[in-house]
Parts: sequence; C-alpha cells; structure tokens
Amino acid sequence: MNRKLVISLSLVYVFFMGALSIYYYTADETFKSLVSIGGVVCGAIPLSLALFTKLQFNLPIIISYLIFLFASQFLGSILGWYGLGWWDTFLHLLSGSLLAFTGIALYERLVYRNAGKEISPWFVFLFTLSFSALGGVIWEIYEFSSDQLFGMTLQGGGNKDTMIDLIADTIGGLIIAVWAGVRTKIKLKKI
Amino acid sequence: MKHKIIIIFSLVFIAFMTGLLIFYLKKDDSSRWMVALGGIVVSALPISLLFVKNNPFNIPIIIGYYVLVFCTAFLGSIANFYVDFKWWDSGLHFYKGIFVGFVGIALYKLYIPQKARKDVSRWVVFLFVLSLSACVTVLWEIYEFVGDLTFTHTMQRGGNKDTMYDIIFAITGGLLISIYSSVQKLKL
Repeated sequence: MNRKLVISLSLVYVFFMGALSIYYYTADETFKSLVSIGGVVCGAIPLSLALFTKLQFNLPIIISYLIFLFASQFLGSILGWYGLGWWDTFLHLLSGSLLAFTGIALYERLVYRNAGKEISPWFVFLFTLSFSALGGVIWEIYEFSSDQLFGMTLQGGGNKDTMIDLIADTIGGLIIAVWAGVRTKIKLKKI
Repeated sequence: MKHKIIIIFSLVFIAFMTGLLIFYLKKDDSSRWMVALGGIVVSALPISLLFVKNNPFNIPIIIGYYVLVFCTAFLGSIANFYVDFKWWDSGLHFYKGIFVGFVGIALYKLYIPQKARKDVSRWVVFLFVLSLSACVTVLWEIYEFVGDLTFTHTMQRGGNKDTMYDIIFAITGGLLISIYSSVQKLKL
C-alpha cells in the first residue's frame, strides 16, 4: 500500500517537473528548464527506490521530501520565492527537521528492538541533532563545490547566508531532536 | 590518575590564562583579554568531569582537549597564528574533527551499555561519530559568526570560502575516525 502511494506521488511529481522542463525549454528559459530537469531527477529517487528495492518506506518522510522538493524547486527557484529573502531560511528550518526525522527512522532501522531499552535518551537526542547538522553541512559543501567547480552562485549571499542557513538547519534539527529524546525517555519510563 | 591529570591540567591552564588576562587588561588589548577570559572558562570545563559518576573520557581525550585549547586560544588568537599562518586554522579544524570523533566514540560507549552493543549496527557508530563532528563544527562556526557580529570581527573574516574550508577540513577529520570506529566496532 505504502509502496503504491510512494510510486504514485513520485510519478506525479516527476511528470509535473517533466512537463515544466519541456514548457520552459520551448519558452527558451534555460535556467528554469534545468531546474525542472533537476526536479525530475530528485523525484525519481523515491520512485526508483520503490520500484527496484525492497526498502520499507516511512511514508511521512517521503511525503515531506516531495513537499520540500516542490517548495524548493518549483516555488523557490521557478516561481522565484527565493527572492523573498526569508523563504530560503524557512526551507532550511524545514529541511533541518526533515533530516532529523530521517535520522530517527535510520536509527530505528539500525538498532535492534531489544537494544532500544538499554540506550540512553541522550544518544537518541545527539544522534538526531547531529544527523541533521551533518545533512546541513553536506548541503552547504555541495553548494560550495558547485560554485567552485561550475562557477554557479548558490552561495552568492556569502558567509552570512551560509551561516544563517546552517543556523536554521540546526534549529530545525534541534526541535525534533529534543522531541525524540523526550519521547525515548517517556518510553523507557513505561518499561 | 585521571582525576590528577584533570586537576593538574585545569589548574595550570587557568593560572596561565589568568596571567594573560591580567597582562592584556593592563595593556588594554580588549580582543586578547577577552580570549584569555574565554580561555579560563574552557580550561575550567573539564573540572566538571570530576563530579560525574562515570567519566567517559580517557586520558588521551583530556590531554587532546587541552592541546586544542592551547593551540586555538593561546597560539591561535593571542599569539596571532591564525593570521600569521594560513594553514593554522584549517589544521586545527582537521585536528578538531579527529578529536570530536574520539569524543563521539567515548559517548557511544557511555550511552550504549556493553551488552546492548551487539544489537547496534556499525552504521550507527559510523553515522554517530561523523555526524557529531559535523554538529560540533556547525556549532563552532555559529559561535564564530555570532562572536564576529558582536565583538571580535576577526574569526570569520576570511568570508564564505574560509568557513567552507573549515567545515570541509573538520568533516574530513571526523570521517577518518568514523571509518576507523565502524571498522573497529567489535573492539570498542
């Protein structure tokens, strides 16, 4: 069931972005057309995972991933909402918390259930927070290397922008990490 | 043994930093006395380890911590190595990445008891150690950024490129230790 939902939602996104890329290509808008192609690629990731692997999906994460792509690629880059100033920061806040949820899902997958009782809530907190920081850092490194290697201007706002991005990522991650830590603590008390 | 080392190192460092604080207060060098004041605080931090029930940090980590404090607060900011040697900053970030990696291993052992460790994938160790060093780097850069906004104005003056190189060096250091820790997982 989950799998079908993931497949159909990703397909919608891929087709939407594919149509946009053709539209902007014919309208001679190279940048928007390229962003849309990027959208097709990003949308194809959960799609191919659903088609070719046996991974169990965490539906909330896939859905928020697609919403995030829509907000960043379509609203942000194509409709130009990044020009608003606060949009970028807001999305980093969202992506920070999204990454934290991914961290929690990974953690739950990688730790066997009977070990869960022994592990300190602090570990869950630190793991979640740090995982989202790692995601933020990798994102900035990606932006930085694209700028250096391909002469793009992803970090055009300079140091201040990079730092505000990272701060927003960390705050987003922190909120979810606190929640995850507290949740683990309550769970442990019940046992 | 561990207690003695913490006490000796912290007292020596606090005395040293206090000396610097007084010296630069007299010279009215505000950026330097502030660093010395900060140095006193960070030198005193490990004292808190004396009061916890089980201190997860071993002697190499504690000494490594004081090496870091000496290299950044004294050599870096007060003796001006950050400005005089371009590689000083990057080198320290690399070292810090490695250091935090070992701290990550210690915390992993503290939070996950021995008998539960066999039920934890080595990917958890890998991700935890790597992520922790990323997290500390981000907090560090945020600290530098906020410091520059308020009173220092020098820490991130290299701009975006410097910040990014700091982060990349720190992550590389962390990555090395996270690979090491996941390979050595069974022996941890």
